[in-house]
Amino acid sequence: MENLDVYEEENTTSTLEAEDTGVCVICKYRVLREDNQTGYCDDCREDLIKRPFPLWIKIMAVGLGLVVAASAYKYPVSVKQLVAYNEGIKSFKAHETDKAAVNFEELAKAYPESTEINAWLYLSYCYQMNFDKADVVYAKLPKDLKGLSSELDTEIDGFNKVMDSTGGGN
Amino acid sequence: MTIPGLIISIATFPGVIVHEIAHQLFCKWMKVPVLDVCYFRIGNPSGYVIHEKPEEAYKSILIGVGPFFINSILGALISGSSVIAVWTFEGGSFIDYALLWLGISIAMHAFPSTGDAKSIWAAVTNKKGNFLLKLIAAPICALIYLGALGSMFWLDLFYGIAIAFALPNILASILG
Repeated sequence: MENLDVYEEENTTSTLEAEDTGVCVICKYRVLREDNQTGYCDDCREDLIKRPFPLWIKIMAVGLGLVVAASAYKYPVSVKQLVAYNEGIKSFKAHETDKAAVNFEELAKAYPESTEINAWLYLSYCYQMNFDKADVVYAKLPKDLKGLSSELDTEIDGFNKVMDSTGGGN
Repeated sequence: MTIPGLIISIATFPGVIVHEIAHQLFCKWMKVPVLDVCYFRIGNPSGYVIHEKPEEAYKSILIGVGPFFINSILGALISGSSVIAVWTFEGGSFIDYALLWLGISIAMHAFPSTGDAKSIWAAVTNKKGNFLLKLIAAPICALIYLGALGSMFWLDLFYGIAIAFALPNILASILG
């Protein structure tokens, strides 16, 4: 028996065992060249190179292709929302709270339950002194504001300090 | 909390399958005969591709690192559209959650295994491997081993999540 040098792409070792008969170990009838190191003939080697994917893998690949297409279809909306969100934060930090509110209002339509968006929107309304709208948004916020982004946490802290100094706030 | 690799492999099985498909695809493209393939199984390893040792060492490197590119790109494409809705805006539909799981599962298995690293290193350190290839392969193998070490601390999961966030954030920063 002759051990053939093969590679395995995972952490086990394995060797292909070939009978030392001078005949291809795969087709079992073609005679091997004397200098053959692999144990299989050229035709079988070609077949191994062209080894087809099983049907279930082909079906799965088509399924994955459809999933990628569906995801690609959703991408523009997601990216647009992310751009609006980033612009909202940027505007808020630049004290352009009217612009920020427009961005967060659009996002709040798509994600009415989002604490993150509603908290930004609430702060934007508060800084605009638009307390009627702020109250409506405040009602949607949970009592305990946990798990918010650090940026938003910082802004809330800043807002609370302003409220404390003026004696206002909810 | 330590969760056995077997359970992680089962929970993220699409990633294992895509990883092995990527190895096989690179074998096909490099014209290297594939002797045996297991796309997924419950065991260790959870998948494998056995192929002939390529004559050129660069082919071994490409076959070894192929899944890194295929899994990362596919993971980013699949999960990127859902991650913002689910993660940033705490919303999203069932489909968004499914896409996120699928994409992160695939990206999580982008890292080549230590078996891949052994194959790459064996190929570049044989008599045909030149110095330049060793220079390229050494950091790749070191990163693979670091990745394997990091997987004990959920590095593969963090990588999967980072890949999900990468593409929409890059696109948003370009368009914003």
